[in-house]
Amino acid sequence: MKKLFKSISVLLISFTLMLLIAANCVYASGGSEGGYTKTQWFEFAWKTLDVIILGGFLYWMLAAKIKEFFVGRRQDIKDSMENAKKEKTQAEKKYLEYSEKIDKASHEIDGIIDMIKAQGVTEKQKIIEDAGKVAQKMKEDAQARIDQEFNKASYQLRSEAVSLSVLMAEEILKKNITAQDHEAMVKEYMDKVVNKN
Amino acid sequence: MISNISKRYARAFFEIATEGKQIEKYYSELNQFALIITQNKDLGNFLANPVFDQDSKKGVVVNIIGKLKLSVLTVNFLKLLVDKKRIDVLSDIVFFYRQLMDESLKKVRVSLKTAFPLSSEMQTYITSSLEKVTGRKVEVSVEKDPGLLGGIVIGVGDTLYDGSIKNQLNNMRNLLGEAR
Repeated sequence: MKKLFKSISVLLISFTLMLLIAANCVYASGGSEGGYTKTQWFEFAWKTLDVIILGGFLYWMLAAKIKEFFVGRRQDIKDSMENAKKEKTQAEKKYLEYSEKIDKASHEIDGIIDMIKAQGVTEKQKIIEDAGKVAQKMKEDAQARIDQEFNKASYQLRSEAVSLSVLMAEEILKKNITAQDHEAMVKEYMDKVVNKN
Repeated sequence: MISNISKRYARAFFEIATEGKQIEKYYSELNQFALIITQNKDLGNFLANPVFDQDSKKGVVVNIIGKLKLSVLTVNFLKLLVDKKRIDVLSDIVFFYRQLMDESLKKVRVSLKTAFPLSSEMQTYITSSLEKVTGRKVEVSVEKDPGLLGGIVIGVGDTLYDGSIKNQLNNMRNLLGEAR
């Protein structure tokens, strides 16, 4: 910072000297017509002094401000860099934090996925078991119905066979039974009734 | 189902008949008149209809009685039934009177259904067999029923003795049908 200030001071002094030399040259070129008068030299001196005073005044007025400006600017940049570093650190910290959170969330998601998978497997097993039970029940019902229908058909066949047999027996008896057979049958029956009572 | 009123009339008439020792005669007369009413539907409806006055009914009954030549006691009993508006239950009275009479005479009526006509010897045999079974005198009414195929069906009161071939075939049908 000091180096910068020194450079600016040297620059200002050099500028003032160059200005004086330039003014001297101007006056020197004007004197070729008859030389400088005392009044001119005095005016020149006075103006030079004014310039010096002006330069000093400017220096007195602006040096501190300029110095302050550049020092403040440097500080600002430094602060900005420090802030940037801090923000970077914080950002990294937050990045790590969010990374951890993301990892944690990923783990949780994995856990949830595993849980859902497990539930799905359990549900699948349950559905398969239920379906198996239903299928078994349907099978049993169907078997029971088959048995029932079979028994029914068997009973109907038997009934028809019995009816036909009885009808045939009736026809045979109608054709073959005689009055003598009938009397013998009646006598036998009456004997049975008497013996039973 | 015989009403108590019918039973009361029957019992009263039976007691009078018992005193006169003419139970069967009065039964025969009552039954004769009851058969006329039963066989003649219009006459039955006329006597049972409350629209016709008692004198008309009594007049008709007296006319019929006059042709039947019934005893005085029976005639009076029938007139009483007309007066008391009980002539329509005469068949029930006769039925219960017969029960009382059978009870008194220790007689039982038997209905006999047969597939073939029975010889008189067989009928006598059946009667004597039933008298052994019931311990009473048996009066058999025979009815022919070819539907029995063979054998007989005897009804003694509420008891039924079924010795018909039809019944045996039915039993066979049931046995074979139920056996599995």
